[in-house]
Amino acid sequence: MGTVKALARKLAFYLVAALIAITIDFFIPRMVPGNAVAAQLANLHGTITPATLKGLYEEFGLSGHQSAWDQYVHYWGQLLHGNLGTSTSFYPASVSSVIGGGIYWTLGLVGIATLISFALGTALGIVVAWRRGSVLDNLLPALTFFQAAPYFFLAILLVALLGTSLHWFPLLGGYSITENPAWNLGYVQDVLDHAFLPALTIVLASAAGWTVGMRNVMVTTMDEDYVLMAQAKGLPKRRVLSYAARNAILPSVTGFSLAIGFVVSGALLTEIVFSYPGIGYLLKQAVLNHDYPLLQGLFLIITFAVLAANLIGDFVYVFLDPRARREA
Amino acid sequence: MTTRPTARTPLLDVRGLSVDYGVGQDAVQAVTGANLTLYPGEVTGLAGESGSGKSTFAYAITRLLRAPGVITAGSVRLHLAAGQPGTGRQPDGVIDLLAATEWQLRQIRWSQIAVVMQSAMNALNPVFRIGVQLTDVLRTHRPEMSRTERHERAAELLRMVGITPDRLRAYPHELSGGMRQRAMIAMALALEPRIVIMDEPTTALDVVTQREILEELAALRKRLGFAVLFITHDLSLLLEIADSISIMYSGHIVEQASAPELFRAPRHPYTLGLLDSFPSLHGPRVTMTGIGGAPPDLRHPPAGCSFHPRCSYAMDVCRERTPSLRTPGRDETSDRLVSCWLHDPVASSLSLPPALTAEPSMGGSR
Amino acid sequence: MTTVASVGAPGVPSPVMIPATRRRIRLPRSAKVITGTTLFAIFVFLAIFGSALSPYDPDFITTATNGTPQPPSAAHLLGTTNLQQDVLSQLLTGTRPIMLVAFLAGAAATVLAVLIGVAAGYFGGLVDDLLSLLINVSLVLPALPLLIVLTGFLGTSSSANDPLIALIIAITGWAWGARVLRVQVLSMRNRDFVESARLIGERPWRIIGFEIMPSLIPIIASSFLFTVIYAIGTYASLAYLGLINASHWSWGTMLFWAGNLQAEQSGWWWWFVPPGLAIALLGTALALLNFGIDEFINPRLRAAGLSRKAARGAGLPRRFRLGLTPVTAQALEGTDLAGTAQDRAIPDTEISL
Repeated sequence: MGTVKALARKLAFYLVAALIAITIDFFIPRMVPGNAVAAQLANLHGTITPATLKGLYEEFGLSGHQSAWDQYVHYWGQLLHGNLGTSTSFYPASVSSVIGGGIYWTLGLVGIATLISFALGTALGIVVAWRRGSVLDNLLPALTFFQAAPYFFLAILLVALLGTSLHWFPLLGGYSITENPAWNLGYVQDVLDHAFLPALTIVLASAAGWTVGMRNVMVTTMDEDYVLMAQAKGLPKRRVLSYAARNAILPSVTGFSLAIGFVVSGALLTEIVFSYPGIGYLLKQAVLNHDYPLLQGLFLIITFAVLAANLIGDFVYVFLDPRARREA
Repeated sequence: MTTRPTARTPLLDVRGLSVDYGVGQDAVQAVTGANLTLYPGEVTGLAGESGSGKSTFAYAITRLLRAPGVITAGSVRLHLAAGQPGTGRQPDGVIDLLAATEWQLRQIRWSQIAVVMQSAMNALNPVFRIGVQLTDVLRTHRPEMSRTERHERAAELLRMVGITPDRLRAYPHELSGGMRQRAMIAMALALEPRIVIMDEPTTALDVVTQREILEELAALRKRLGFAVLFITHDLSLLLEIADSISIMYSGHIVEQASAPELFRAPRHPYTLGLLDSFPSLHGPRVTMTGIGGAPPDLRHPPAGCSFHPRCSYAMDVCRERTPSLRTPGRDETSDRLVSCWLHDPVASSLSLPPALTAEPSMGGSR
Repeated sequence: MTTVASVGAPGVPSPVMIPATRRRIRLPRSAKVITGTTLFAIFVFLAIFGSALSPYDPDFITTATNGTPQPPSAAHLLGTTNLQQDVLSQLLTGTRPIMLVAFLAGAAATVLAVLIGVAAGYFGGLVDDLLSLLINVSLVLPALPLLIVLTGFLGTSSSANDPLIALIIAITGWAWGARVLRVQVLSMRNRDFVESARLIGERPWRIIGFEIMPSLIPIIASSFLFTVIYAIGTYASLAYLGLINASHWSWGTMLFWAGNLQAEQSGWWWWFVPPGLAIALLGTALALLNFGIDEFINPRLRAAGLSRKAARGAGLPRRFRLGLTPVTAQALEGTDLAGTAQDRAIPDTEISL
């Protein structure tokens, strides 16, 4: 019972957070100095019919006839129908369809890269902590550097080094224009080829953070009495290590949940550098073209994704830590 | 037991152990030249105030002391029956734990010497069930046991300390404080070691639970016959349960005697001070004096005897030279030990203060 | 990540200093901290004197010839951009905005974190519940997308307004520090010295100010640095995306222009490597400083007690091994495994009369 209660509480929290995110999203256009619609008009190509104008006003809830609360309700109504508005830069495509086109690329790249990075970073952190006082400790300043370097800078470096100079990997896009997007080996290989550099960037930038974090937690954990007990029991080294690591992983999982927001942000920037056809690319387009509906929609989707990842992380934590399951 | 035959084989013989924290000038001398001997099946108490070095001593013996602890002198000789794990090529079965290899230490640990730590909550791994923490030593040291046998043994161990076997599936945070400590004791006895080192095992518990656990311990000792090194600051407790008591002050062992002898006839001024610190339940009211002053800074211990700044019987020689642990000058027959110039026939030509010359066989007003 | 763990294991005394009670704050003098401080000092110097030192005006178009950036030469130590602007000048001039924004954001975020975190931890109850919710929600909402959306809606003039940008960045970055502070204050609140102050009737702000705050200082410092690092990266990212007014020089803006012209694909490394490297180095310097503070807060993270030199001098194994207390070579001299031969002499001071 304790487990279900703990999980239910987490779920409730994330629903509240999602609510707040939606509300923020609602208010943003209204906080902009000047008329958001006027800015939109500047971007629309083609003729503007009165219907379009009215539609735009309604979309922003700036119809003037409705009170703020009514607008809010209207906004919710639209959301629950999956209607995120109409994109102005991809007009007349709807925001949801535009996003739908890019989301799978992002999920694939960011999802897999983050998991690899977490696994790698955590393992490395354990090793560095275990072999304390050895040459591995010299890795730490280097890792700090990678942690501090912004994602997009690393991306740029990799493009310059491995792409331009060495021509090892393609520089742009998700797949070559010449390939036919079909599920055959050639296509898959091509996709992987294109995904390699972006993935490498994400892994390099985030693994350093996991490593340093895990190392610190591990060092503190190794000082605990129960690790000393494991040694006192004459258990083999590997067992002692697992006793410590199994505890140290808990704060790491929490850290993962918290850091996922940063990782996603960085990953988006990476996509931009590589012109990878994912959410990041759409984000840049939206910014350049002042496509406010798309911007709003992207914010929502990204936020929901991060919340979902956090939720999963929290669920995993409850399963890993028996203390979290007890009745409060 | 007042007089003992001197030709017993010791179980664990610690000679001249010195432990520092850190190296160089800033090193803290936590233990200096400590001697202690454990005999089979006996309870040896190690008493001292906080910071006296008793815990450091206990963990240093098994080389479980954390950084920056360093052992700088001494030997810790464990007497094993030939053929027991860890003896290797030693025919007479004596091994110096300080010189042992990691592999040997791992063999000896838990199967010969087990440790019960002070805080069971911290010593138990919070993410593993109790059953797992009981059977892991069996897996390591008794590889021939099957899974069911291990499980059976774990259940038996819990039953032995009065816990129902269904608690095998419990996590440490689900047990009460007393149960946790009992589980720790059960864990310590899993391989039926010959020595159990207990570091303040009952300090964190209420008196009722304390009593229960001590009684369980006595019963277990009767049944399994292991020796105990019992570390505590509670001298009154030791007077009840210990066979012999060593008093530790500022990293030195200052007195060692059997419990009744120590109680009725202390020889060291510090012991006298400690015993005087217990109010008696009967008799007239007396003003408690305690021991004035404070324990010394272990980075810069005082010259000579480390107790002299607080000793009411301090002589000139006490300020200059450190006494060694030996039999009190006038008692050649007993195997008591004191580290005090008062009992050195050469150093002290004065007659001893009456408080320190009581005869153990006298009834005494204590 | 800063871990706040209590020092000291029960049963095994270790002479480690507890930051709260010491008056003199002694930062561990490891190589990391020294490197970090030096690097940081250099950047501060450049921030103050950068524009004065730059050989050219960063906007100045030296020779309006071709549209190709020129590699480093005697006239232009770091080469030029495609508009023949001097890269070095841009780099030097661009130091100040980013440092300003980052530190302003850090300061604002830290103030917020202290106010909210300490209040939540100290007052407990409903206040804590509400503030905790606020903290957790702020933590969980991804910062950069929110920032992008917020700055995206700003006009071009406001996006050059550094303090405004700093404030917006602060609003997204305070939550982490608040959370750490709240946990620490919660644990301290139940300590005896705080309880006794409350029982005496001390006013809350006095208790917080005098009893609790002093031991929070290292954590606040660490949290401040962490937030500054975050702000640097974020500001650079926003500039790179073109959300900051592109004529307002900063390292991020340089990268924006370089990216726009696809400098990385054309091999014009002198244009994008210096600003990116500068960002990374500044971040690294601060992170190293943070390491130092982390080790100060949690002494266990320091090198395990013995430096290599000291260990070698005492004849000890160089690397600390868990569960294997080292024994000096001196102690083992003359004893074999069974400890039989040559007993160690016990300190015995006989008086010779």
